[in-house]
Order: sequence, then C-alpha cells, then structure tokens
Amino acid sequence: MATDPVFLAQLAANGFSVGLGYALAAVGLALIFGILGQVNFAHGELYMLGAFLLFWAMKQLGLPYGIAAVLMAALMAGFGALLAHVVIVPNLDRGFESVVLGTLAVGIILQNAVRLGFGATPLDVASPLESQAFEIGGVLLFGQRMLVCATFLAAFSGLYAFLRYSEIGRAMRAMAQNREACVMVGIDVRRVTRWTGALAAALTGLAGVVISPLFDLYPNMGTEVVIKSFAVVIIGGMGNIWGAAIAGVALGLAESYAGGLGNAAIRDGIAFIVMIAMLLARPQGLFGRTVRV
Amino acid sequence: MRRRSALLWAAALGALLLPLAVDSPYVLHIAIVTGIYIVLVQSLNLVLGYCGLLSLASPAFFGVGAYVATLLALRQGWDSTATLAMAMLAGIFSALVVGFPSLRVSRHSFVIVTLSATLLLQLVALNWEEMTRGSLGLANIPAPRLFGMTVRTRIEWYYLSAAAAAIAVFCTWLLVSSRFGRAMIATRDDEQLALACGIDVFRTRLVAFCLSGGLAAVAGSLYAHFISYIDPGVFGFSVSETLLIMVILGGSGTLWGPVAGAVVFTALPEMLRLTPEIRSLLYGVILLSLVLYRPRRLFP
Amino acid sequence: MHASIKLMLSGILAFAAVQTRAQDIKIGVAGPITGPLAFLGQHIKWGGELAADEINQKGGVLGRKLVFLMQDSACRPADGVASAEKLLSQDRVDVMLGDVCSGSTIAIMPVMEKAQKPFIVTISTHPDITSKSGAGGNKWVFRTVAHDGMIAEVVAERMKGFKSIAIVGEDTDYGRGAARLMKERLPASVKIVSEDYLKQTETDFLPVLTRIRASKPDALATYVLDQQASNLMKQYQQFGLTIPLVGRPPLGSGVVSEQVASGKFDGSWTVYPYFDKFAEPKNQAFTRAYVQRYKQPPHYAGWGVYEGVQTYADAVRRAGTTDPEKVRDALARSDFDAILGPMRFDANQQARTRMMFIVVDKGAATVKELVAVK
Repeated sequence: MATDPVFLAQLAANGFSVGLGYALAAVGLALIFGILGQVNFAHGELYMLGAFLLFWAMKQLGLPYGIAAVLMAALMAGFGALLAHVVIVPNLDRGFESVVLGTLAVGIILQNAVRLGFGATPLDVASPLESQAFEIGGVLLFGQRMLVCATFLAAFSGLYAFLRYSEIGRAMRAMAQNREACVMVGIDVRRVTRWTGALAAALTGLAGVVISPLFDLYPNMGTEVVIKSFAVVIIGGMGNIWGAAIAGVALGLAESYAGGLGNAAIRDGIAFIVMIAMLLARPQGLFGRTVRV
Repeated sequence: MRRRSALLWAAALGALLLPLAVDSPYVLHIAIVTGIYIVLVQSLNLVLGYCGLLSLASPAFFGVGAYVATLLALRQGWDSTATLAMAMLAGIFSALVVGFPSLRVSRHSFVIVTLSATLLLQLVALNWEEMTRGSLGLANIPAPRLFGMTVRTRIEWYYLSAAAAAIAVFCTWLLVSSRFGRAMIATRDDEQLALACGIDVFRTRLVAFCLSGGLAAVAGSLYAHFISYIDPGVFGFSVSETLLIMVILGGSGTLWGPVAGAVVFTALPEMLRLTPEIRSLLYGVILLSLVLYRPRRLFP
Repeated sequence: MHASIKLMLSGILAFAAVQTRAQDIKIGVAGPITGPLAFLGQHIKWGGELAADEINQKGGVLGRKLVFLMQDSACRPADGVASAEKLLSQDRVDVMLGDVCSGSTIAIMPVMEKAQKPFIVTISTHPDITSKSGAGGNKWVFRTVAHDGMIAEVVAERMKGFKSIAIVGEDTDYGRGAARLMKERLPASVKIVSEDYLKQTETDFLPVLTRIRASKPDALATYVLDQQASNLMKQYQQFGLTIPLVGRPPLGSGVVSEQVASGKFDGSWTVYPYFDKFAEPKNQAFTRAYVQRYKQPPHYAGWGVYEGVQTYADAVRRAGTTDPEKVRDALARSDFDAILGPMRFDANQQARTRMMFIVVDKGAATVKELVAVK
C-alpha cells in the first residue's frame, strides 16, 4: 500500500490543500507579529468568530454563501481594527506580555460570548461546494478545499499588492523594520496598528469563512487553529508572509504523509518536531527575517 | 516600606491561623490549591520575572513532577520524601533537556519552543501506555508520607502546602538576592551589557530555567497527591494561561507580587462560581479590564 | 457610573445560581459548562432540570422540593474536585452526580467518600469507576450506565463476522480505553489493519480516510464523540467510502442525523447506552417533554442525568429521609422501572442496565435490540 502511487498522490493532494488552508489561517498571526511585534492569543477566536458570523448571516439574514462570506470577512476587518485599538494600541510601548494577556482575555470573552449567544450545540454551515468531489486518475479533489486553495491565492496576491503598492501597506512594512524611525518621519503609528489589526482579522475571518463549511462549528474550534498557526509562523520565519505560505504547505504535506504512512499520534507530533528542528537549525526561520526584540 | 512589611507579617500570621478560623472544607481546599500555585508562580517568576523569558513550559515540568512522583509512589511504594526529591530531579533534568536548545533561540521563538516541548511531552504521556496508562490516567494516588507522617486531613494538607509555598518564596528570595540573582536580572535588562560584564548569559539562563523546572515539578507532585488522580491533561495549556495571568498581573520580577497574583487568581474563579453559566465570560472581562487599566501589577 | 454598575450587577444576579431554601433537597453536578465538551454540559443541565421540575410538579420528594445545581468542571479533574468541594460545603448538596469525563469523575470519588454523601455516576463509562465502587472499596459510588467493558463485550461479539477492521478513536480514556477493551475481546480471526487516535479537537480526518480507502477493511470501528463523528462522517462521504461504521459511533446523536439521513451509512451499527428514538412509552414521554422544552432531542448525557435524578429521588422516597447513610442503603436496594428497564445495582454498585444495539437502515437509525448483560 505504501508504494501505491495513487495513495501517495492522494496524500500529496491532501497535504497541499490542507497546507494552503494552514497558511491562510496563519497569515493574520504573521502580520500582527511581523508588523507590530505582538503575539495575538485571540487568533483562534478570530477564526471561530468568522465562522459563526457566516452561520449567522446565512441562517438569520438568509444570505447565500458567497455574499455572506465576503460581507462577514469585511465585518471582521472592523472587529480587528477595534481589537487593535483597544488592546494593542495602548500597549505598543509596553513589553509584549500585556498584549499576550489582553488578547488571551479577548479570546476567553469571545469563546463564552459565542457559547451564550449560539448555544454549545455544534452547528453546520452549508456551502454549495461542500459535497463536491472530483476524481482525477484515482485521486480525489474536494470542491470546498479547492475553494480554500483559490481563496489563498487571491488573498495572498491581494495582500502582496497591498503591502507593496498602497500607502498604508508601505507604512506597515516600514513599521515592521523600525517603529521608532516611523514615528520620526511622521507615520501615524496608531493608525497603522489599527489597519494591521483590520487586515489580520479580515484574513483570519476569511479563513474561518472558507474552511468552516468543512467542519462543524463550536465555540472552541479555534484552539487547534492557533497552535497550527503558531507552528506555521515559526517555521516560516516570524512575520514573513511568504515564508508562512511555504511553511503551511510543508507542514500540510509532512502531516499528511506522517498520518497516512504512520498514524495519528505521529502526525500530531510532527508539527512540533519540525518546528523545534527548524529553530535549532535556523533560529531565524526558514526564510530568515528576524524581528528584533 | 514599614507598612508593607507590617502587612506581610499580618498576612503570614493570617495564613498560619486560617484553619482555626474557617472550618469550611471548600475554603481550605482553595487555600491548599493556592499554596501549590504559589510554588508554581515562583517557578515561572524566576524565568519570566527575573530573566525576562516568557516560558510556556511550566506545565511540562509540572506534569513531569506529577508523573514521576505518582509512578514511584504507586509502582514502587516509595516514601514521599524520596518521590518529591526524585520529582524535583526529574524536573531539573527535563528543564535541562528543554532549555539547552530553546535558550539559544530568540526570545520570541522561545515562547513557541517551550509550548511545543509541553505538547510533545503530553503526546509522550498519552502514547507511552505501558508506563503512564495513557489517557486512562493514574488513580488512587496515595496520601503523601513525609518523614514518617502521613498527610491526610485537609488541615494537614493546608500546612504542607503553606510550608511548600513559604519554602518556594524563601528560596526565590535567596536566589535573587545572591550574586547569581543579580546576573539573572542583568541578562534580563540588557543582554549585551551583561555579556560585556563577563556574565555567561546562556549559562545563567539555563541554570535559572532548571531551578524553575525543579520548583514546578515539586508543585506537580503535590498536586498529584492532593487530587489523587492524574492524566495527560496535566500538561494542558490551561495551567500556563493561569500562571501567566498570576505572574504578570501580580507583578513579575517582584517577590510578593506573583504571590498576591496567585491568591487573587485562585480565589477569583472560585468566587465567580456564584454564576456558573457566565463565570468564564466575567473572568475574561475582569482580566481584560485589569490588563487595560492596571497593566503593570495589581498592587502598588 | 453608578447606574451602569448597578445594571451590570442586576444582570449578573439574573444569571446567578438558583435560589435555594434550607428544606430543599439539593442535587449537585460537576460538568463541562465551558471547553470543547460544553455541548454535553448543556444536556446535563437540561436533563437534570427537567427531572427535578417533573418531580416537583408532582409535589416533590417527601413533600420537599428538588433543586438541581451545576458547576463548571471544564472536564478537568482539578476543576471537577473544586466544583464538588464547593457544592458539598457551600451549597450543602445531598447528593452529587458524576461528570462526563471519567478523569474528573474518578477524581471526585475520594471527595465523596470523605464527605460521606452518595455519588451517582450517570455518564462516564470508564471501567475503573465500577471496580473501585461498592465491594471494590468506595461504598458511596453508584453507576447507572453500562461501562466500557460491558459494552465492549457486546461490540466484540458482533464484530466476529469481519475479516479486517480499522479503528479510529479519540485520544482520551474513552476512545483509547474502549477500543482497547474491544480489542482484548476480539477473536483472532479479525485482523486490525490500522489504529488511529486523534486529539479530541482534531477536525481533519484526511490521512486516516486516505489510508482506509487504500487498505479497504471490512468495517471502521469508531470511538469518537458527537462533533468529531460529524466531521468524520462528512469527510467519509466525500471520500465515497461505503464500509460500515461499527463499534460505538454516536449514530443516534442529533448532531449526525443529517449524515445518517443521507443513506450513505446504511448498514452501520453501534452499541450505545441510550438513543432517543426508542419506541417505548416511558421513553417517548421523556423525549417529548425534552424536545418541547429544549427544542432538541435528548442526548445520551441528558438522559443519563435524568435517570440519575430519578434514581436518587426513588431512593429518598423509600428511605423516607435524605440521611446520606440511609439513602445509600436504599440506593443499593434500588429496583424501579427506569426508561431502559429495571434499575438494579450489583455488588460493585453498577447498574445492570440494558444497552441499545442501533442499526442504520434506509437513512434512519433504529433500535434493533436491547441487549442485557450476562
């Protein structure tokens, strides 16, 4: 079985689609880390919130999946700006511990608010692509997972263009390099912080919106995402978004083969082992761009 | 300053007499847990407060201590004096293994490497079934026997836990007021300057990390004996979460701040049991307000 | 400022615990209000409150009102113990019911022994709980549901026809433990092609399903709880897999009803302590009341707690008092007509209840047989 080419190709296809999903889910964490130098412990809850907002828009407002998905990602941007304004802006000059605790608190609040608002019973959102599957030479490709890959490509191209060409994007990159210098040349650091929060939350919410139809929704669904995202961000080099993309795929493939050829326990351990090995070999991450402390 | 030491003496006296004043097993239970947490916060305080390194490995050493003490007590029938010492050694040793590679990476990466180490240890505890019984856990952990005395009642437990807490605070004080302690603080405040002064930054941090691991393991073994049941959940992230809150909001890098943090943040979730449904939500709201309005420390 | 604080406080008090009076009979439970298993905690609350209200409407027990109090354990042993201590010494409950997670239940057992109050385990299925109770040592612990060993016996018996099976389970005492008990009882003719235990929070089953698609076992023995099963079954359909799910998939749960209705799981079966679509008048009355109140069919956890409260109420009636010692003796002599048949305890204070053999046919899960333990 282990040498059956179809089996190995299926594992590769799985690894790719799952890995691009990891990258999409992690990029928001990478942005906040790279630009602001802060660790967002509410990252998983942003993902969860995106998914629940999607459910709400479809069930309560009766919107179709496509429209609801875009609208809710936009709504998440607003929430991200608010989060950045309340928790990150006042703590920019303090050690990163304050933001760690603050976002941890926001995570607890979001989990419980969603539990009280939606109930704890697992929910399900239906996407038109959810049950689609195509077979190419014995290898199955799944509709919703293809949508995740497409969203990843669109989101990353958009992000690249934004960071490269827009005024605020350039300010973000400047801030990633040296915040003190930004202040000196007259960049409004608070405004850039809010924009970063908005962008990160929109991308994380978008991940929640396209990935969640694959799974059930429940208030703790972000826990797993946050750990995987950390792994991706570390392996890819802190704050390096292209590194995160490649690391996501690498992790997806590693997990897929570990799980397919070994078993689930080996698969769970692989992310940590890759991460630790990575950091020992290249402490600056795969694509080195260390953020100074 | 004088008012502060008077306050401390009053608190110490209050702690000593507490079991005479209350007969509620529940209040004593919380007090015992608080004592165990005080040992733990000092373990994190050494690394986070005095070396400036945010470690998420506390549950790792806590768990190692819990498992080592439990297995030696259950399988070998060892006396708790010996199991406690072994747990401590195991904690120091595993901190050495985790710290040796992780202290070489940047401060930010250190956060994640320590978290990964914890989760890896949890996987080991889950999968090494012959030794740990995996997820079935280990039950019926006997009451601890120390120097020939068995600690059974809650009052006895209270004094054991209070003694452990006092020893942990005392050892932390001894350490941080020594020459080595000043070296720790120097590495925290300015790594380059510390290097220039001839301090071996890596070695200083490693030693502090190992001592922290030893303390956490002692707390873990006390926890195991007290709750009488452990499973791989002892390596869970929730312990780290609570500890960070206690140390940072209490005042990291001070001797008594984290102790106050341990008292407040053990009591707070219990007080919120008044409203079981929205307890966690309130906890989050209170936590956020404290971070925003009292970010440095709870108490002046 | 003052007005807003007042508003907040009144809001909090509106959520605050049920008001109790000294003469009430108090039933405590520690369960997951928060955490990944909050879904089951919700059913615990519902089942307990429904039972208490039904009894109170008929005049309570010995003319006294039943009050159901729940504290959050988040399914962690330390929080379970803290919850129990709080309920016992602050709220002075007369009896405790067990948690969902066996770890928490096992950690509470010695607390109950110290407090000398009955402890009725209604959901946890870890076999150690039984072996340590009654004749096993702790005389205060009773269990009203079948444990994993009893169920494994029935499951293994029904797996005899397969040549090869794959196992997938959650990486907890339930998933691993129950699968191990089943394996120990499996005849040598059944080959196990693979075993995977996934974290309870894991949602992605792709590697496991890819392997199963290639290795083609006769059946997939499934040991996961509701929400994980729902994710598994969604992905299972996408892979176009048709081998039956067997062992203990939660086929009767409302969470997976959509998947079951697709017809893709026809031929799958499970052995479960309880399933709401069990056509007996007593159960139908229970489910009707439950659905009417909570807009959801009762989950196994909701049923378990409901039965637990009834079992306790019955014992108090016969004892004529809530004196723990006397109620304990009355519990040991329980013999009343519960939803699944007579409730009687053996020497280890384990109820010899019947289990449900549930089969999916034409997109519907039905109870094929009630299996009694030998």
